[in-house]
Amino acid sequence: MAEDNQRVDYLAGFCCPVGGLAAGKPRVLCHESEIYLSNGSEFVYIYNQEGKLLNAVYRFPDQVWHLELLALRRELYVLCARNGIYCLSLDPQSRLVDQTDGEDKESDFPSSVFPVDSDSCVFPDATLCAFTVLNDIIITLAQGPSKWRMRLFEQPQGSDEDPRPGSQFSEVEFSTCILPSGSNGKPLASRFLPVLCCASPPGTSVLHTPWCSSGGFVLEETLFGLLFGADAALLESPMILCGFPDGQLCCVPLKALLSPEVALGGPETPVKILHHLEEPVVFIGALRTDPRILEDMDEKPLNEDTSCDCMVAVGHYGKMMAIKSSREEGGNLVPELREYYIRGPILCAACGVGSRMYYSTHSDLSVVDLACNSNPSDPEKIDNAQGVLPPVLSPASLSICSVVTLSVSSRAPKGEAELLALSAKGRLMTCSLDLGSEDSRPVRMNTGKVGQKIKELLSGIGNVSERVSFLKKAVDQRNRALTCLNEAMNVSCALLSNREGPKPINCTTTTAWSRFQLRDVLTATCLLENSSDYSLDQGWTFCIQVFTSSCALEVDSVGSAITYTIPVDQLTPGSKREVTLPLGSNENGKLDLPVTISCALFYSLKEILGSALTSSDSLDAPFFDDCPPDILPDRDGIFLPLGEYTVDMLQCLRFPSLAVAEVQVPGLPSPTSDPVKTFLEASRGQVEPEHMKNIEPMGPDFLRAKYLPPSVASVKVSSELLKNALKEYCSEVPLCCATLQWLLAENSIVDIVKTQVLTEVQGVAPDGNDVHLLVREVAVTELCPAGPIQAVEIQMESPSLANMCRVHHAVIRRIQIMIVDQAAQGSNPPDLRVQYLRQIHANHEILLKEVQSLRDRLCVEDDASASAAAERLLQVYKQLRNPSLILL
Amino acid sequence: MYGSVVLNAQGVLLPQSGDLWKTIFQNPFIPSEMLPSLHHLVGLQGAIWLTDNRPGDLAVLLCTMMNSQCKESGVPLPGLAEDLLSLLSVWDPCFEELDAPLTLQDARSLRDVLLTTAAFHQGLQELHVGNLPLALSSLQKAAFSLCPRSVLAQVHTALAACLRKMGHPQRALLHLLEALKADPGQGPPLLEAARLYRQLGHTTAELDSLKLLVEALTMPHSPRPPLFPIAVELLITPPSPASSLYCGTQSQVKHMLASRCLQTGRNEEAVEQFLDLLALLMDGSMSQGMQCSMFLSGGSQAPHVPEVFLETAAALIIVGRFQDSLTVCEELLSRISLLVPQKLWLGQGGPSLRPVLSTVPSVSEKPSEHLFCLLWASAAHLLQGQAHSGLGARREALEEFSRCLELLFRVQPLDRVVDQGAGGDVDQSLSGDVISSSEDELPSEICLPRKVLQRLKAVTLISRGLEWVAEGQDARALQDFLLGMQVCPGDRNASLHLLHVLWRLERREEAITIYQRLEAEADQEQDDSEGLLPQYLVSCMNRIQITEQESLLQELRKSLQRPTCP
Repeated sequence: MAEDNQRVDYLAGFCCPVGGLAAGKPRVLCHESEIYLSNGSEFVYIYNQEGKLLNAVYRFPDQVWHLELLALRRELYVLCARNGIYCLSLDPQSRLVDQTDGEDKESDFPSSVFPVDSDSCVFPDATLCAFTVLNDIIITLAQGPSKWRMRLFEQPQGSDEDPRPGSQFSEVEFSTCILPSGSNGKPLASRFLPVLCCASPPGTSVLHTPWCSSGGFVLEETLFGLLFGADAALLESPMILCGFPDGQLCCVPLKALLSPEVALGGPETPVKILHHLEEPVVFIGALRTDPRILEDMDEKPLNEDTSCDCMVAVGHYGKMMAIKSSREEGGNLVPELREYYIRGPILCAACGVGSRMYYSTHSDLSVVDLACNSNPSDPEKIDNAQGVLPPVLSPASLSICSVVTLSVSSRAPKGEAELLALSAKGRLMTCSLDLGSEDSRPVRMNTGKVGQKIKELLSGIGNVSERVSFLKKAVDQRNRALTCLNEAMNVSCALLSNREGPKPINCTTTTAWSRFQLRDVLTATCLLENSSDYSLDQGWTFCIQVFTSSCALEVDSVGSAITYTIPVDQLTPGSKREVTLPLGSNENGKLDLPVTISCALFYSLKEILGSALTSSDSLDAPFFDDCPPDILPDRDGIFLPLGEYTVDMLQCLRFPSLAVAEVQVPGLPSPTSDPVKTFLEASRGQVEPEHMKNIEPMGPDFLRAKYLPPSVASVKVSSELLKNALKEYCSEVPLCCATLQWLLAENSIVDIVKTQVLTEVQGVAPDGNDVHLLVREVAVTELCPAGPIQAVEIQMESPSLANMCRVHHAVIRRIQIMIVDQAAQGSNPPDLRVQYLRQIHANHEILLKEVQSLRDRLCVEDDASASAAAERLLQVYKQLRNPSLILL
Repeated sequence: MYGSVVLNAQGVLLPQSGDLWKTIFQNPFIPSEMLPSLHHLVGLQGAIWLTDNRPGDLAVLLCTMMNSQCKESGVPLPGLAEDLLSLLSVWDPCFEELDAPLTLQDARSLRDVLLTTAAFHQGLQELHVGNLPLALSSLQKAAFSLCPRSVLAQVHTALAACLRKMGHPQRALLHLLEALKADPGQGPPLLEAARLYRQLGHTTAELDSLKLLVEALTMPHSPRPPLFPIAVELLITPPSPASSLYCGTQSQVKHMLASRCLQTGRNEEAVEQFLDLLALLMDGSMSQGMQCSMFLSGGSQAPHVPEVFLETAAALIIVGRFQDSLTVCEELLSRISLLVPQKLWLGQGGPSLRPVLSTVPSVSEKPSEHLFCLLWASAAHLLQGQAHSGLGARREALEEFSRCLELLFRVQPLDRVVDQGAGGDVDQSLSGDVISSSEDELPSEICLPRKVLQRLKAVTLISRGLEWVAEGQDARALQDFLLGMQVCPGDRNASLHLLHVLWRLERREEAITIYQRLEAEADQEQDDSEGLLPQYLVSCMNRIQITEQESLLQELRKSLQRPTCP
């Protein structure tokens, strides 16, 4: 169809980044035979279409975002990101013509690039996002912290060598919301720039002035009056139209801004909101859809001041708005607004001379016709066709993919349209279209024409193959992403749906001591087991988070967390993956118990979908319409918790005295064994008995025993309760041994305890201190009127207070869990002597109060009294640790 | 802490800046070497808060600061008033150390700037609210403090406005003189003078002031750079259009001048001014474009451009330049005729393009704009008719009047019940007290378009009736007058004309009935509470006033007495 009467010529290639050019920033303008082009980089190229050579390259300090050409003044206005607007004189004498030939610049820059210095920056402003030019006025749009600010400036005066910035007329603020700022605090708006252009009423002779504004158009009187009001129409004030990234389409009468009063931003701002597209506005333009104008086109060529009768605005995701004046049933003239949906995302668009609008997506360049005479089969429509917009649009493909910027050249001969396009790969091309495509019929070709035709066909083939490979890649990526997503969904459902019973994918954690690099290290082994029907593929990550509790002995210490992420390459159903991590690898190598290990599976959406999204922004279809890639932050994904496991003192205890045979723990007694220290100790052990026979033995153990009595804590639990809870342990051994077994269930020593029927063990804590655990049966008499209660006392003892506390904590934790379980099953405690309980409770209250006051004193008092207070505090704690209460 | 206060004083948004300050001054030990900088910072914070219109926060801060200082020095707390002005005048910032870094502006100078600004702001606010004595005292404080000339002129102008409202015109004049002496180029004193003369009834002086104001506004205004980095003129927010210090743009003042000329009967001058204004507005060049701003700013008070056209045409008719008037109307019609609706429904909720009640108009249509366009277009036809009539071209005049009526009857009531009760919609219009309170605002408030529509109908019918009378077609004339009476029941004009024709035709019975009704109406209603009519409509109405009203009425009265006396 369209290919039959279209001709694509490649003009030149410009450098482009690896992923191709991004849409939004590149611009291409055409005046006579010169093409002015910026490709989103810091370069501006001037290319001669006739000579097919690059005339000049200018280098700006930052990305170039917008170009406006003032043809008669021969000046190019360039908006440079984070710098401002530069004014370049295009006079041949002031510019050195660079005569590199066409082949060189395919890949590289020409040998001479003219750096643009800051002298030619006429409007320095780092926040500028857009500008346009109308008559003697430059309109700029800058992004403020929460608002857009429009400023009007006089045209810069002065000679070409020394352009001076013009004076500011006024400033107006738009109350439209700015997009949420990105993670680094910088606004995200740089992805989408606002669109600025001017709509003039007819006869204002705006376009006769020596300004060639790329975005301006003249609107028909009726539409202008209807849209902007009688006042603006009477005063013939051009309107400034702004399309913002949030979708608002605003208009401001230019003449209202020319007075200083409005600049003050009083309550009566002249800004009106025309429409809200609800997606970033990428294009505003106007068309001539009236069939009468179109008919006239044959007689006299349309020029740019022929007024347009239809205004269009296009949003990035394919929403398009068209406004035209129409006569409703009552005969009133009303603006008719229609919204269309075209396949997005739209990269760029341009309006032709007639009723056609061209727009580009990643996969295609399309043309839509907004003239309404396209449906002759429906006579009723034709009757009131004047002012009625077509109900649906039927885009026709031009089969050129990834055009990032587009402009309609005015050089085209009558009956044809010539588009100037820059593709994502940096190729500049012209596309000539025969507008009278209906009556194109086969003509007999002569040889010259055949050659031309073959050339066209070849270039067409190249173009199509580029497009095919692009599309194929995009489709593959999309399929892969969909498969991955499907699997991820299956896994998530399996894990989240059945909360009862074992999870189909689970993780078990065990701890063990092992020796690395002459140090004993406690390691945790997490075993991820996939017993579901789905395999975990690429994209899944096994996350293990190790939380270290804050050290209770140090004030202000905060618990730390280390996260290990292990990619799960592939875990087929039934297979396992084991991960072993060292614990306690904090700065000083100490192990702060207890440690909590929590395991989870994480599926990163960014990783899987990101490629599909970025590779194209891409897929032409509105694949991610609701979720543009910007909104998908790095951390978005599916997070499936698998379980938590706490490592406490009871699991870390080692029993060198017991484990001679089985557990060959090297390096004891000191886990942080230093060979020198070992040697010294050993030699002292040999020496001591000889030299110090008469004196008391002064070994550290003895000293400690004498001056630092071991800290003790005890817990009493009723035998009844324990028997109920520990049924599986109690079957063969007495209750005390069962209790010990239960406590050490996750320790490797448990088997020895079981076989030797132990009720008392002497272990070594990770820091080398002794820990003594004793379980015995006692009878508690005072508590119950019915008689003594049988109870089991668990006594913990260690010369190191810290270790004792840790063991105490671990035991209490276990008992807590047990009691919660038991309470769930329901048990009835025996009668108690309430009076006695109260007494104990009151005693404890007093102790607690004392603790509080002592702690307060510790904070404020000086060293001497503080140490006394600390001593007393320790005593109180000691009392508290040995309660006369019993757990029932 | 101090760092974040610094940030805060720089305007960086931090939450609860007041809380930060409180924390600082609650600290019992503020190092003494810190105090000068702290006072400096307080001054800067005050400047920010004053521009943000948060004087209350500043007062609280000053109070906290002084309390903490008094506590520290052991000096008994003086009875501190809550009033910001007195707090500011009591505040004595510490002197900087001699070896302190050089400062551009010390805390004392900042304090003075704040004091002037606060007094000026407070005075303006009280003036706006109508609390005149308080406004007067605050403004006087501002006038006595050190301030730059431009600000001093504003202060004196505000003082004059205040005194004028309090009924002391002579003292007001003295302040205006002071203002002009302080800064001769400023507009607000001249506008205030115009208001004052208007109140005093010195029309010539009023118009002269307005002319001077126009001149003053044409001169480029280049403010002198302030002496200090933080100066009063930088902290003063520009006046809002509601403020008495707002003097509008050149075109706005020109419009006011022209209208005043027309209102006071200086018709030739009015015509000159109106034509000048039109030329100014229609000048296509962009550098002149700034004149249009008031008409496009979307403000409720700004007149619409078509109204300027209509007023010009009306003034031209008054001075007998009928042909020019026709041209002006032609020009207006050519621009807006496309926007005139074919049918319009007028309900209680406003105009609508569809005969459905309570439809929410779509965003792109502006029904009230449609109504306005219709009113303007019909008024243009009315004026054209009157111009033709002035030229003696009766046929054309009749044509124009009929065209005008055709336009006016395009508007249909949505609910007749409401529409028949003429005063039934006062609630949504501007009631009388609004108008009286806004007497000195620039453009006079215009009543509801619904009233304008009624009046326009009546005036057009009467004008056409008069044309018929001149043609000798009395029956048609009677019909039009009768219709005019029905369309606008409160309008005496239609009744009088009807009476006149009936009397001439010797239809005494009917004449007497109408006369009696007229007398009865004259007793019960003086319904002028409907707001001002647009100027162009007023001058149209003046043209159709019956000339021999008194003699006619006397004749009628006599004839009434005759049958009863014998």
